[in-house]
Amino acid sequence: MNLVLVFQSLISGIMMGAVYALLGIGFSLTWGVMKVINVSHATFGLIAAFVAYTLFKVFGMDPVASLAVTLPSLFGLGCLVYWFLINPITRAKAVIVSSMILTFGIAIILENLILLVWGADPRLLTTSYTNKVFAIGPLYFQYPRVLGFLMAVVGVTAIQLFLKRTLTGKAVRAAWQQSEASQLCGINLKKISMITFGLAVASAGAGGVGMAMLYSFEPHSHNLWLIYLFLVVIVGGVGNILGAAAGGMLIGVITGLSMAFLPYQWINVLTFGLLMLILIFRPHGLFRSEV
Amino acid sequence: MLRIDSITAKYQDLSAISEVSLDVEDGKITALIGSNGAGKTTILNSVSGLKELSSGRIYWNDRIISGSSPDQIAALGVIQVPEGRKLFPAMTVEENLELGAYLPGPRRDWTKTRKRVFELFPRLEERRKQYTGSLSGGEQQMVAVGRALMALPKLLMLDEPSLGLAPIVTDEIFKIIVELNREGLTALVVSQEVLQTLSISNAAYLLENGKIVLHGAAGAMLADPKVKESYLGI
Repeated sequence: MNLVLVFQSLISGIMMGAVYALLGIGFSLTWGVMKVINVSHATFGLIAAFVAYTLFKVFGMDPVASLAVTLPSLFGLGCLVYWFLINPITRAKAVIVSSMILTFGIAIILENLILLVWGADPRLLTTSYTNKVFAIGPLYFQYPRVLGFLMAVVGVTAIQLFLKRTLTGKAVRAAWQQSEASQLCGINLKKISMITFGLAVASAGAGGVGMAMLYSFEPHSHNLWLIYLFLVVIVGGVGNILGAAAGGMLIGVITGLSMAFLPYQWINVLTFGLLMLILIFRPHGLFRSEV
Repeated sequence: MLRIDSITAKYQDLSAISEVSLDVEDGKITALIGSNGAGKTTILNSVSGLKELSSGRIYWNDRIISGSSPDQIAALGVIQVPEGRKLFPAMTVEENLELGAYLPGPRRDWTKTRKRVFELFPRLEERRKQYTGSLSGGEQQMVAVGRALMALPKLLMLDEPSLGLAPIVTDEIFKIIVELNREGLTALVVSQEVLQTLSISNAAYLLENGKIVLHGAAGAMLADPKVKESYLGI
């Protein structure tokens, strides 16, 4: 076996995986913290990808710079969706199931809005650096992948710092660990949940732009992305940010290695085979669930 | 002062408490005693806004607070130390205390308040970086009281502060309640430790099957034949 090829696939796997992780942390957070499985998570990411595409085509704005527009907008949109749609169902007995049905509806609506605005054609975000590479020794690095990786590192670190260092972030963790006592401390559960949901949706935006830099995308792409989200969360453990990051990388590495050495058809067989093994032997994920 | 005016609260169709009236005077320790399941916790949770009332009203300094949300009630300085501590287990002692001072008012001087809490409970300072899930029961109760003090309470409601604790730790907790009261804190203490609770209290209420059956000065309650027989075993 060619050692350079192994390392090359490992590296590209880690870089791709980091973007899956970025797309997945918010999904893991809303699932873990408020027991809401947001099936429309990837769809919000896809919107950010399309907006980045348009801003690039029309104004020549760099996709990373477009996040300055999309992240705050998605945060606001996420807060509104939480306040008016998710919050009313949080009192339901089976929040997990009702939240899946509700957000499935949101995903369909958003997908059709995308279809209305952008049409059904697949898009490719081709910037000046899309095909550029640099080399370190015998290993090649593609610019968009490095950029996606850096975005993921910044995104995961930012969310982790928010949860561990800021008062609001600590309140999010408190509300998850002991919701009654958190209210007795003066924490407004509805407000805290809204902020969490808004942040999660915004992080999906960053992940969506990261995905758009790696692959072509179309209005249906969020369905495939969603499958990766489940993978990331199930491997990483629900509500575990660093676990999600590690889960994303692991999936990326498996995909990367199998792409290099196996026929194309085997990639998903392997990935989902792994998922089933994890569900059977480690139903709580490879890492401990904890926010 | 806190005035509870004829409140009724239900679980499904069963009344947990019915037409309970109770006053907590400023600067005093008021005891709410009664056996397990009498409805004591339901009364505290009604005051804190965690339990919805079927009827009746609760006033804090002549302002209606029943119907407000728990965070709004906490913002008025009406703070509860819940039964069973209910700490944030995957957080350190320090983080638990910091969250006690979550609201903007208490947040302003929170490191100063924390210093005071560490003076009251030196053991918490030693354990400040430890996760509260790994502490002993007594230490956990200290964190729970400390967390409530971080909110700069005007009224501190303690629900079974001695439950499951060694007598020596119970003594320490009660001593601190008395000390805080001497500094001006108003307290409502809910407990099954009838003798110890009554001996630190000014006034007391006895709850049986969701109804107040007796109330008066704590000293008089201690001498009451019914209390003696049913709760003190004398």
